[in-house]
Amino acid sequence: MFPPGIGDGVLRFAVRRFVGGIGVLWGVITLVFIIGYVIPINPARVIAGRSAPLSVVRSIYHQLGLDRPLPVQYGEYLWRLVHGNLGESYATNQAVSQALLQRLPYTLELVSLSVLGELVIGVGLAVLAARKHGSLGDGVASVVAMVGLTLPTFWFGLVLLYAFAYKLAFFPLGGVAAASWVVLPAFSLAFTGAGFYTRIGRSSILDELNEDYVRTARSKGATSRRVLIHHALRNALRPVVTMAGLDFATLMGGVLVTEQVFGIPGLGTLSWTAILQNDLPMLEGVVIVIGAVIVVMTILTDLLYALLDPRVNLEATG
Amino acid sequence: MLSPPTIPVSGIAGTSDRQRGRASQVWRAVVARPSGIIGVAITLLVVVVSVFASLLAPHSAYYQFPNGLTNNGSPVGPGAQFLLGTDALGRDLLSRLLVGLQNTMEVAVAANVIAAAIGVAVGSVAGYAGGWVDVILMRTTEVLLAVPAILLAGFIALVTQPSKLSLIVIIGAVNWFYLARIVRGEVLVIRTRQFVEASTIAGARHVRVLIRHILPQVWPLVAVYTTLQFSTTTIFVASLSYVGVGIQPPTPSLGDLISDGSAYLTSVPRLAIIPGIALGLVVLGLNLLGDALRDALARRD
Repeated sequence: MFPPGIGDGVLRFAVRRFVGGIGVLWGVITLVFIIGYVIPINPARVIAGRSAPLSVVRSIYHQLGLDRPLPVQYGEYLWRLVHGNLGESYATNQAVSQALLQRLPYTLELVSLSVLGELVIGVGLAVLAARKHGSLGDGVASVVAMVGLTLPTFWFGLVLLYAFAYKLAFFPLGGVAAASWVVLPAFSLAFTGAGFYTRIGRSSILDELNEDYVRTARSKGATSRRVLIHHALRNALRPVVTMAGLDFATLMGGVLVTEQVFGIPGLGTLSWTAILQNDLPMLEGVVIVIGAVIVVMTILTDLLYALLDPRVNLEATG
Repeated sequence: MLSPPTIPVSGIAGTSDRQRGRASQVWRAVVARPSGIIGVAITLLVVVVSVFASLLAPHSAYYQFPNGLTNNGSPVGPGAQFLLGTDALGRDLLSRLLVGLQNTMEVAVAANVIAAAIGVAVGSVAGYAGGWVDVILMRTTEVLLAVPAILLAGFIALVTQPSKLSLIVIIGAVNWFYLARIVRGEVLVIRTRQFVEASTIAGARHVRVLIRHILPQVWPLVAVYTTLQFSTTTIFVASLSYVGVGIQPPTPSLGDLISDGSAYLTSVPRLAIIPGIALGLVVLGLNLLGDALRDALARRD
């Protein structure tokens, strides 16, 4: 598949990115620790409750080890995390990892389908636009893309709820009881995010159509539809795929508001409840898991990009 | 201060003339196409409305009109006295919309200025200094980019007492990461140009080289990015209000209006729909202007 030597480069690149990714994750973990330390919230008071006597609060404070020196606390925090222990919720005493596992499927389903929707809508519009540069289709595609980018996602979600769940009753009015719960929230995210794909996809297809191999295909008698779909699109999709990977990562944290609008009990709602309850371990858990997903997706995306296009200089992009 | 360089590195008069010419060139390119004109028009309208909101508002944004609710307690529909009708508490929706727009834009503008200032400072220092300074600053932005901005902002907003000022600082503080990376990339390129070398050889100090020679080259990029970022920030401000940590009631903001209205989505959809359309128009104007600016600057290069 690759010219000799390229495989080594990919491996070395992967290892270097992996080490860098661990570094970023360590940074996220440390940042979370620092925030938890500097904010004016006493975890012992959160656990004990507002009316608990001071002696109880003090003893919980001691049990949590919060009276020990900061480096010791930091060391134990890292030690705990390395062993996969994210701690227990201050509010419910449930293991954070358990709560995360319960909520993660909802967010993953929503985010995956949203990114898929973005790709279908975005690339569809891009093909429509690029097929005849400057045509009516081009105009329509850019207007639709711009409308999507303009709509505030949470507001668009509300409008969808009103129209398709309340007026037409095609879908449930929020919640995840019915199997079709994901359709409206995923569409609200997909439609408002698709515009970026249309822009990048359109210019990338137009670039590819100017390449020599397209001229060759044309001169050999291929129809313009065949040239577009079999030749240009395949190469033009490369930046789009890269973007989908990064988008997936960003949406993991970004769906918070959408989850609120549609009443979805995913990671976003979990973290928001944690914020409202001053439940630090839970919030830390969510931030660390999302950070890990972002780091992994960034590395995978870079690798995929390099694998799809051997022209990318791996030594320079690290 | 060192004596002025004897080598005519970049004649001051020449620079300003050239820049004035460039600005008008960009302006002509922006208004050369319909979408650019629409973008400029909407942005101007938003600026005017935001500045003169309290003069333009027909009523107080806070007064609960006795005749603002019908006999069974529901909001009054659009009419002569209340052009867009009233909200669930009998307040004039149009007045709240105008003042809400003003509040949202105040936060968005100030937060963007802060974000741009931090982004340019971090990015240009990283790009110009290079070495370990660069590594530390860029690794820091990488870490910050791996934390969802809304979680970070929401968390800080909740533990501090929410006010307009704290909101501005928080949103500014979580929105500079990308700009810093973009500016750094640009400075890395500019740093190697001959006029920078010449100025260094002439004995200019680093701060001077950075501010007088490098930053002026970066501004167009910052302007485009900030305009495009602006629409994202506006939605971000509204989103924070929607989840309850934004501008606090009774002070109206576009996000709060949508959030409050969403409780009446099935009975009085107008309450959530109208502020959403207003927010959408603002974002549309900024996006069109940003796109036109970007294309205008790209064409010049």
